[in-house]
Order: sequence, then structure tokens, then C-alpha cells
Amino acid sequence: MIEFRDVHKHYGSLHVLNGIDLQVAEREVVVVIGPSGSGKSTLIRTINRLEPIESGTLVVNGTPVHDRKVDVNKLRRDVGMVFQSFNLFPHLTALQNVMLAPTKVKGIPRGTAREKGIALLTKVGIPEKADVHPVRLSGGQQQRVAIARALAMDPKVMLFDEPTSALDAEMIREVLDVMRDLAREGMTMIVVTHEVGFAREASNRVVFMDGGRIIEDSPTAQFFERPREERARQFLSRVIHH
Amino acid sequence: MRPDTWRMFVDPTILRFFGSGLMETISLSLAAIVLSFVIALVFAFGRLSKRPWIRWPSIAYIEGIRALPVLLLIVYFGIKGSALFRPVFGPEFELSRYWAGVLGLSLYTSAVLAEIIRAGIVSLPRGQTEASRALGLSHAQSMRHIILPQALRLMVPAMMAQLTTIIKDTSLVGTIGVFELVRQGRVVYTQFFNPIEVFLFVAAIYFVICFALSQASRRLEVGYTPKAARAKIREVQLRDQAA
Repeated sequence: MIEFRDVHKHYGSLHVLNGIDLQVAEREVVVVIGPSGSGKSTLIRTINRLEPIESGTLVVNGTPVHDRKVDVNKLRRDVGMVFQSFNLFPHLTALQNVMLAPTKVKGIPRGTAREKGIALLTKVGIPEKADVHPVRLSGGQQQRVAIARALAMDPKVMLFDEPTSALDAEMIREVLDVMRDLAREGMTMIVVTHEVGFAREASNRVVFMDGGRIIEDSPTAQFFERPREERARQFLSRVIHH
Repeated sequence: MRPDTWRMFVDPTILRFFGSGLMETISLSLAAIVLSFVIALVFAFGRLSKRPWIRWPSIAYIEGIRALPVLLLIVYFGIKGSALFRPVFGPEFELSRYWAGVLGLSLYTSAVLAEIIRAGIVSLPRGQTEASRALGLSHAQSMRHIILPQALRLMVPAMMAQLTTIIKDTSLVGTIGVFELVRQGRVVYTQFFNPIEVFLFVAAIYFVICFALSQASRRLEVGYTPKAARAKIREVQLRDQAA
């Protein structure tokens, strides 16, 4: 479903993606962890071309993402994304946020989009907030609306870029619960996160990054019980004992 | 001041005369704000364009026009306007003095508004564009449904302030023979020999309108306005007033 082959990218002199090779199969849940500045966010943002790459190939759903001839808007319909800072549209209500892309991009009639929007808000547990603007929602509620908004396009893959890093402890749980449900339903997911608990319970594989490289790529259980790489071991002992 | 120089202000004929000047002033202002907004949108997007052959001319227009006195633009169109448009509208074309005035005012205001619009757009968090593009919206759709609705809301106070500036600047259009409020006043005082009284009267009219507008714009500053965005727009305004 997603395949990186020798992908490189620089920010000035920083080699932020240094020869990335990675495959993610359908229905797989992959967690990307690593110290800050290791290139995790950049990696995930190349998948829907929010970040360009310099060399190598990246194929999503059979489409070479960074090919100039590819219609990026079409590609993005199938790739949902959830951001660290939610990025809800503040001038629209929760329901309007969810309905926007289906009506404007896919041309789905408003009535149908509305029903679906309410169903999705119900799924993420806040149907009663449909007509509320984002400023009046808590962080956890905003992030759940953002997840519903991404799901409204029926994506084949969901990307989560540190979805709980901007949240207070008590709100992290409600967002992770929604993500866990999604994983259980078989959504293909790539999740950049520091939530070790979530990684353990909900992911199939863990990818550990440092300095723009993938240092370790192991099945979840193996990664947490006996990580192969020293750097991964050190990182784990730091995050777990916190 | 002699008391008999004030009596004329209760004469309905004179009042009607001032009234027609006021109407001309308002009409000029509205025409100019609408036209300048349209031009401003074009140049604001032009300046934000990634393509240098669109961006550089837009910058040149905005910075060039803003550095000129409005009066100069108005007089220029007053004298040269007809000749300027003859290649487009045919050899018989005559640009009316009214439209020459509107053009002069609009050109200047459009350069200022273009900067205000651009500030409104760039002041929005980057995440707004990213989130909308990630959903599959095109650049144009993202502008139309996400960026502009928010940016324009941010700009309402700045636009209202610009409208009051235009209203005052219409007084300059009198110089090319459009009978707006100040010009009508001049006609009156050359007959009644009471310039001070007339100017006080005219000043009171401007004051009432502009003060009411600026009060109204404060009320309009409703709902959410990100603090950083507001500061950015104010910065552009101040820079412009200093220019």
C-alpha cells in the first residue's frame, strides 16, 4: 500500500530523511517513534506530499506520489491526515468541518454528507457538538472532530502526526480510544507518537527513527521486549521511565 | 463672525445644494471602495503568487502606487483619462470627471487594500492551508472556502478604516470639477462670502459620517480574531499611515 524506496530529503544542511526504505501493507498499523528532530513528522508528511522529497521513490496506492504528472488532489482524497495542532477550520461548525471535503471535493449532495457527518461525529463520541464551533470545544474534542473530518473522505490510509502531543493527560485517552477503534476495524494507519501504551496495544509494527534514518523496524512485541538496536533500547528506557 | 452669515444654513435650497454634494461624496466613496477591493484582490494574490512574472509586477504596482499622492493620481486621470482609454473604447470615448475621480481614488486604495488582504491571508496559521489541502481541496478551493472567509473577517475593521479615508479623500476630487461636498461648499461661500462658516458646516458633516463609521467598525470586530493576526494587520495599517 505504501512503499518508500531510498527516499532522501534535506533541510538546508540537515539530512532529514536519509535513505528511507519502508513498506506498509493494507490494514497494517505502524507506529513511528524516535527522538524529536529524527525526521518522523517529515516522513509522514511526504506520504501525502505536504513535504516534497529530493530523491528516491514513494508509491502510495500504486501512485508515485512525487511524480510531477500525478494529480496530488486526487491522491490526497485517499490519504487522511490528523495533525498535532488539530487545524480545524474555526469559521465552520464541527459538522461543517466534517462535511466540507465530501461536498466540495467529491460533490456529494449536502443531505447525504450531513447524515454521514453526523454518523462520524457519533462514531468519535460527540454527536451533540455537531453545531458548535471549534473554539468552544476542548482539545480532545477538537482532535476527535479532526479525525471524523479525515474519515469523511473514506480514506484508504490514515496518517497521524503526533495526534496527542498537544493534549492534556485526561484528553489523550479519549483520542487514543478512537484511534484504537479505527485500528481494530482494519484501517491502515501510520502513527507518529510518543504514546508507548498505544503502540504496544494497537500497532503491528514499530519503526524507530533517529537522525533521518530508520534504525529499527520490528514487530511490536519484539520491539518492546528485545529491541535489536542499542539506540532504540536507550530511547525506550528513557520514554518508559518517564 | 457675523450672525447673518449663518442664516443661509436653514435655507432649504442651500441645504439641498449641500445634500447633492454629500450624495456625490458618498457615491464616489462607494464606487471607489468596491472597485478598489476588486483590484486589490487581484494584486494581493499576485503578490502571493509563486510565479515571479506575476509576483514582481504586483509588488511594483503595490509599492509604486502607494508611494504616490492620491491627488496626483486623480488629476492625472482627470487630464489624461480619456486619452488613456481610447485605444480600448474607441476614439470617441470620454472619461467623465466622476469616473476619473473614482479611478484615481481606487488605484491608490487598491494598493493599500491589497496589502491589508495579503496580511490577512499570511497571518492565518499555516495549518489551515495544510489541513484543507490534505483533504484534497485544490489551491483555489482552499482559498475560497477556508482562507478567504477567515482572512476577510479579520480585515473588516481595516477595511472600514480605509472607507473613512476614502470618504475624506473624495474632497480631492473636487479639484477636477466633480461637485462633491467641499466643492459645493466653495460654490456657496464664493456667493455668501462666509468660507469659515461653510467649512465648519462641511467639517461637521464629515465628522458625523466618519466618526459613526469608526464606531461601527469597533462593534464589527466580533467573534474570534487570533491576536497575532490582528497585530499583523495593524502593523500594515500603521506602516501605511506613516508612508
